[in-house]
Amino acid sequence: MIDRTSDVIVVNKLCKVYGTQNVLRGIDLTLRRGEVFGLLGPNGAGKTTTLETIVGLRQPTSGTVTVLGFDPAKDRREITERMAVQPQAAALFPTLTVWETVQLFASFYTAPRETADILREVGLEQAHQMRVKHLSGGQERRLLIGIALIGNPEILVLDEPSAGLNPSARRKLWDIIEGQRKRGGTVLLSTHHMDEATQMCDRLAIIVDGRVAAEGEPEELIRQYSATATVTFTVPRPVTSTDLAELGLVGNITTTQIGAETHARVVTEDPDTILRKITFSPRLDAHDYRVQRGSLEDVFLDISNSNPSTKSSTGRP
Amino acid sequence: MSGKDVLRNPLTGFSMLFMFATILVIYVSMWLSFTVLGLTPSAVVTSAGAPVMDALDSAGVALVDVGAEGRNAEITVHDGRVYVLLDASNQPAWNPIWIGLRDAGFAADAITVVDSDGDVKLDPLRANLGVAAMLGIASIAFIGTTVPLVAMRERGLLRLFGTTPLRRSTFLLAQLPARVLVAVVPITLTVTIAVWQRYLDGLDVLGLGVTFLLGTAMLLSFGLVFAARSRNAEATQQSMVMLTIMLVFASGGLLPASILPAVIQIAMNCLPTTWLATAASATLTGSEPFFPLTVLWALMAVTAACAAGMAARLFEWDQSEPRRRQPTIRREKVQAQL
Repeated sequence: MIDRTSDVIVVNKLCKVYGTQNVLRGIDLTLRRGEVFGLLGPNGAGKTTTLETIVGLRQPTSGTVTVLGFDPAKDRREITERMAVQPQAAALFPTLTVWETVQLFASFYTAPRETADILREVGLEQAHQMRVKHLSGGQERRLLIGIALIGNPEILVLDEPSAGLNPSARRKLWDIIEGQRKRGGTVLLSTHHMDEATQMCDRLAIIVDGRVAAEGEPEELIRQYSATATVTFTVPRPVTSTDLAELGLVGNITTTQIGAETHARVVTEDPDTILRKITFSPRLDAHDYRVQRGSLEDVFLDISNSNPSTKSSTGRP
Repeated sequence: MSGKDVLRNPLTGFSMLFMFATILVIYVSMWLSFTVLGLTPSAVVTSAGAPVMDALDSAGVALVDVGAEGRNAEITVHDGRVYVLLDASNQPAWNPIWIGLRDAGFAADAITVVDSDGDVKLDPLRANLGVAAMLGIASIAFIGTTVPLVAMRERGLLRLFGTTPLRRSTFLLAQLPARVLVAVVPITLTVTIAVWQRYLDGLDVLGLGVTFLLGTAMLLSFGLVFAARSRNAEATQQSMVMLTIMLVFASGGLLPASILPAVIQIAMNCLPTTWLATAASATLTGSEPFFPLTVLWALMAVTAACAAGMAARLFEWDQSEPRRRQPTIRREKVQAQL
């Protein structure tokens, strides 16, 4: 049984300054054991710097980062056995084979997983004799993920793992993340793919301009930030927006006449009431109801495009 | 570690040995021009026994009588020393005389070769073999170790290593075996030349072993120090090539130190690479070092230990982050902004 209540990563008021540029302006994050946590944000928002500080590659200018109770910048030995990283890009030794590369990294750990097991999990068992320089971009990325898995880490940090992967390779990646979750491991990933974040992440944070602009479960964020929904339906005779408004439908109503039928579209904050009114209005005789709620992409675009200075200091709504 | 990668990549080996091969070709060409190519030596030999005559004859020296036409060399044996006088106007190839005298058992420093103008004749290969050996090891250390490590940092591989339990000292030590294996090539080649050309008065295996072991350790440690922080492979490559060329000059490989001002000579003798070139020269060719060999060994050992310690201390997996000069002030600014 996985204890999902204990915090494995705690980031508190993390700030990072490069020269005169404030890259992180007080990031607060908490990751619980066994969860998949996503970091979203536009390019240059500070995702990679946040990840690199969490894994100990960078020191905070101010604020604290605690991973499994340790300071990752100081207690490297304690952290690296239990947390693994798949970087955005790293050129491995080109003349080593896939098998040799995994074995090389396995030799760094006290209790590594079997090389064959890792290659099977990342789908590179057929390519185990191939030299790294002959691998495709997707294969090399999967090899990097395999390298991250070799030490059987409690925390797996993936920096844009699906960048450049084809749909089938992305599915494979999702299986790997799911496998890590099933083993009780925690996954922290940064991604630009909203479907990946929606599908894989238990919780996520959207970072904009070095701050957490929003944090929570994907569905919860969609509810909070993309309040409107679009209700569409068809009426088997000509009706106007005024006719529909007279029925008590509240929202932005548009109608389109197609032959004898009218296609109606209502953008509303209360789709349930609209649906009830349409359904229980015998004069309307509407059919083909469809309700389309906002997506994570809408939330992301909405938050990214809004002025970060209008958000609260923690960025939470 | 990356040993397999180093040994499997022919370009890496080529880049490591290219400068050594180039300078060796230069020295061999000079040796051919000044001592091998030319007229067959026709020498008048005085005060020498039959074994000496036989050895000279076997080496290809034409032995002629005093007053014979075409004679271009005189060899005189006196008190266990040999004086060779070459005809300056009709310079013979004197390498066979050297080989014959060495085979006859004369010590290397007991043979003096001058020409009739009074110029002392030097074998450029013998004079510079130590420098060539030093250059061979230096290019492995600087071009073959520093540059690939910086390239690994530039490509993000060291950053990846930095997220694993791999210790920095283990990583640095793991760089050495493959490089030491490559260093065997220039060392073996220079020793082979020294034996073939009879530069050695008996093969001092211990002396050679200690000299090259300490020299390799010292230069590889310096290579690791140079790789400790840099992250620009191209700039590092250019500086390391320049450094290696300058070290050849500083070790007397381009201009003999004896013709330079005393201050420059002292400065040159303070360089660790000069210690290695001098010790290698002493053990390979029997030349007289400016310090006793044991002192040079001690200096190299201490320097190697210091450089290795410095490399382990300074080495960073990732140096992409600009260093903070005034952390306290900046922290206050950030907090104020928040």
